[in-house]
Parts: sequence; C-alpha cells; structure tokens
Amino acid sequence: MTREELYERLNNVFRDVFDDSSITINDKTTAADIEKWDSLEHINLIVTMQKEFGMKFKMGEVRTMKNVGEMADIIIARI
Amino acid sequence: MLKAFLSLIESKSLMQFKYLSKSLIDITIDEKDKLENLFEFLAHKGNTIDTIAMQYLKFTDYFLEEQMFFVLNRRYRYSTSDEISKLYNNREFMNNYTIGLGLSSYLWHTHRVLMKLFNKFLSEIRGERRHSLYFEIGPGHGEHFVTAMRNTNFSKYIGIDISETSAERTKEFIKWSLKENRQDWEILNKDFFDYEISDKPNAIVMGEVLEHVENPLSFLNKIYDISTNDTRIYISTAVNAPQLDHIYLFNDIDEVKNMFKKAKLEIIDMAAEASNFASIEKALQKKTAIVVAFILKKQLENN
Repeated sequence: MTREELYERLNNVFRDVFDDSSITINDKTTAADIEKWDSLEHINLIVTMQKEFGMKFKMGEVRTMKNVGEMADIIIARI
Repeated sequence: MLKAFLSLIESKSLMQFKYLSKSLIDITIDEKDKLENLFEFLAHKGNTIDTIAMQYLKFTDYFLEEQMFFVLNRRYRYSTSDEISKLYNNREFMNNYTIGLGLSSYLWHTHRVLMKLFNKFLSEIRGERRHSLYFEIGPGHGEHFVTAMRNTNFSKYIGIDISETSAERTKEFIKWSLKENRQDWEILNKDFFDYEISDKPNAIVMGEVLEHVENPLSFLNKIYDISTNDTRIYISTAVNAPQLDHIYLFNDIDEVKNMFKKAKLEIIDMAAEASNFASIEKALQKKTAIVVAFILKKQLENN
C-alpha cells in the first residue's frame, strides 16, 4: 500500500470516529488540530484503526505517538 | 493548584488536557474548593504538583490500557480477588491509583454528577437524632466520609475498609480535611462480613465497591440485613467501566437494578452519567463507561 492509499483510508477512519466529514489529515496532524480528539476518543481511534488495518499498536506507541505521521509509519511497518 | 496542575497536564499530554478542559466546564466553586483541598492534602503528604500530575497521568495510562483491552475483549481483564490482590500490594501502583482516583472525583464530570446525588442524599438524611449512625463501607479516598461529616449531624460516623493502606489514608484525609479534633468518627480496618455492627445504621454508604468484588449481591444482602425500614442507603457503581481492579462487570444499568431487586432494596432515586457527555443510549450501544448511583431503602416485607 502506498502512503497516499494509506492516507485515503486513514482519512475515512478519522472522519468516521470524529463524525466530521471535513477532516483531512496529513503527517503533521495532531490532537491540537481536531477538536474532538481527546484521550477518550483516542482509544476509539486506535481500536478502529486496528480493525481497519488488521494490526495492533503497542501500548507504549498508543501513549507516545505525537502525530498522524508516526501512526502512519507504524501501520506501514506492520501491514 | 488546579491551574498549575492543568498547565502541567497540557505540557505532558494534550489529549488528556483536552479531556479535562471539557470535563471541567461545569465545575462549581464548591467542587473546586474540594479539589483544592485534595491538592493541598497531597502536597502536605510530600507530593509536588509535578509528581501529582505524573501520578494522575499514570492512572490515566492504566485506564487507557484497560479500556483498549475491554473494547477488544468485551470483558474486564481480571475476575477474581486473588488476581487483583497483587495490585493492592504494589506500592507504586497503589500510590498512582489512589491519587488518580481521588482527583477524578472532582476532575471528571461523571464523578461530579454522582457527588451531586450524594449531596442530595445527605440533605435528606441529616441525622439529628441523639443516637444515630452513619456507616460507610469502603470509604476509599475519604471524600464521601468527609462530606458526610461536614454536612450531617449523626452522633457517630463509622467507616470500614478491608485494606489497611486505604483505611490509614482515609484517616489521614479526614484529620487533614476537618482540621478539628472530633471524637465522633472511626475508621476500622476490617472485613465487612466479619464485622458485627452493634447499632443499625440510619445511613449506609457504599461508593464504588460493587465492581471491585466477586459477589456484589452478598454485599447488598448484608446491607439489607443491617438496615431498618428507615435506613437510607447510597450506592454507586460503574457499568462497562474497565479499570485494572474492576472484576465484576455490569453490562447495563438494568443488571444493577435487578441485583437491588434480588437483595430486596427499593430504588428511591438515581443518577447515571456516561463518559464524555455521551447519551446513556449511545454509551450502552457503544459499550462505553457509565457511572451510576442510587438512593435506596429496604423493601418492606409485604412488597
């Protein structure tokens, strides 16, 4: 899967979890850019991603991922 | 200290800061004062604001990990007291957990909603009789106990806790919060089931205990046994709310209500609040956490 293809699917996950069709993410997107992205919604986001891509994040990663780019790197390395 | 605490949280975890900012939106002055009292108590115990923030974040990490486990497995990680006893002997865990849990009483919107019902409960059972007893099972962080002592006039207040550490901490918190040498209270380090209560209580409180025990019905049955027809009871618990030491899973609010029915306890009033301001329907559908509290009384024999 190319990074562009990954981002297309990631965008759908973000739009679905945060119920906002206007969201467009990139490598630098953080919780500061998406109003509803708080610690509780983060759990829903991670679980939805795991289901979407058939992979698992490690707990340490869940806690420390700083932006969407880091998420994308982990997903690409694991699928 | 709240401002400094939030500023530290913002610098260490933006997502947790966003959650707290939303959660604190409707905190009252009285609740803020109680939160400040707790910060001051923790500082008095030798914690810096930085340590408190780190301990709170560790507590939320435990929560995050258990929430992920729950979403994937639809059950709590542990289901027996033996499994969680090792946690209670882990000093670092207990320290983070107790501090985090205590702070969450006022930091988290859900817990504040339950405290409002607790305050309503207290206002209805002031206890002005000469021989009257307030009895609390598992006073934990001590917030309910202190609030009761400040706002009611029972002649005696007794708390019972199976954990020595917890009982000691509750005693310290009471002494710190009341700042007066009152002789009308006792915190006992005993098992509720081994304790022979000499007087029937006028008020019984059991906050967030049912989800920590293997057989919650046995607690309700014993509460029934020690109650009179006039005793008023306050019980809170949690539905679909994973924490490392939660072992009994209530899948919905009706399961809690049915258990009260089995124990012959009648519901007078209740409050339920889902996390992140979600509706109860949505929370039940998505299996996200709901906290619930009830005011109850003994069901009359002919009912």
